[in-house]
Amino acid sequence: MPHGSRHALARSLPAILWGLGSMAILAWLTGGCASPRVGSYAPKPGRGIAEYRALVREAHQAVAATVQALEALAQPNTRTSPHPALPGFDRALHQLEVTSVKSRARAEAIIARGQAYFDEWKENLSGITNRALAQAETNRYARLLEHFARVRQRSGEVREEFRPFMNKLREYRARLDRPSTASIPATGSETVKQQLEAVTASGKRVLQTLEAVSTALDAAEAEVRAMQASAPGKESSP
Amino acid sequence: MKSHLLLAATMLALLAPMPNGQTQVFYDPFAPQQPALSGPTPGATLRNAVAATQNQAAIVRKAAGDWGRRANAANYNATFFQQDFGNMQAQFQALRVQFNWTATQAQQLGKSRAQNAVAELDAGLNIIGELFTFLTNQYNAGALDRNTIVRTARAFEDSMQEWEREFRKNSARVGLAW
Repeated sequence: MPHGSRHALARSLPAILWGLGSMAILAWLTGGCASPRVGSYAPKPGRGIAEYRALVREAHQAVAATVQALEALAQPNTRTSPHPALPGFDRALHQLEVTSVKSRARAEAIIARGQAYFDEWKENLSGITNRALAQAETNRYARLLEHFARVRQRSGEVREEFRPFMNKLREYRARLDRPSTASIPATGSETVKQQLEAVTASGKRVLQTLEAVSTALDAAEAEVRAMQASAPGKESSP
Repeated sequence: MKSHLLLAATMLALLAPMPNGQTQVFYDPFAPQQPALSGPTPGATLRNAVAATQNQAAIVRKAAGDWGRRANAANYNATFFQQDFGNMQAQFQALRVQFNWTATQAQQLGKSRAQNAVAELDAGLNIIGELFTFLTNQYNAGALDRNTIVRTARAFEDSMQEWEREFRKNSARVGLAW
């Protein structure tokens, strides 16, 4: 591998980490270093993190709006029926249904494919003949892999919390349409009030897991920035 | 003979007019799958597959919209629900088959971006498919009512619209179609 290409590789590593928008770089890595299109395809380092962060933020907003709507439903209803907060809850739930398809799909795709990117990267590392450079690159790889693993693990926790939350939300909403059963324990021996408390608590757990992903992203971004600052490519052009 | 009668009764039930007077066209799951037209090049074949997937996605979205409108009718009952649910499942399954074909073609190009897009869209369909599970559970628990059907059909329709948008965007981004 030419020296300049190694520098280009070093600068490209953070982008590979997140997968989003960096597929051309991966294609370059696996397809050889002679491609003249590398420069034009290469996204700015860290863009993937920004995209993933935006995804998490969007999901957080949608879940927070739903939790807020649930809390409004928990307020005593001075009118008869329906609860005045119900239309707001319906809007929040519908919005969550729709936006979560994209967010969850993208997150699941990252989880499914992320490891493959690192496998490719690892293969590429084995081709570096300069021992000192190989050591430095391996260290970078290990550090970023650790961050990636944390983001992946926390994203998995979001997935595990989110799916039952959506189920509970749908079931709760369906039950509100049967007012005659409102005070009667459902099949799970819960009253509507208990069901509301359970679904609200579930939503708050989703929010916590999303915040944990954000924290992991912050740490990863800080690491990427530190690497960029110390990357050998910073001093010379490829 | 008995089986012929059963088949005839099933066909009659399937062709029964809907609450709003419309007649539905049902997807036959036993009919041979119509393969996407092969083109002179792998790229052309892929473009055909993408176009066929888009068409099927639009059919699913429209079926969801029609379902929601029908379910709004006061005389909408369990029989209508079963027909609509079966139709929707079949159309969705047809989309799955069509999308899987497109995904196979896209992956043959060996483009990582295409593979990522495929993984994302595939996950999207799985997530939308969760609505079937919800409706099945509600139905089996005897807890399904018209309002829930209307809401869920709307969620199907809008989620499919979102999925179609992502499909178009990804198709353009990875250069699959245009």
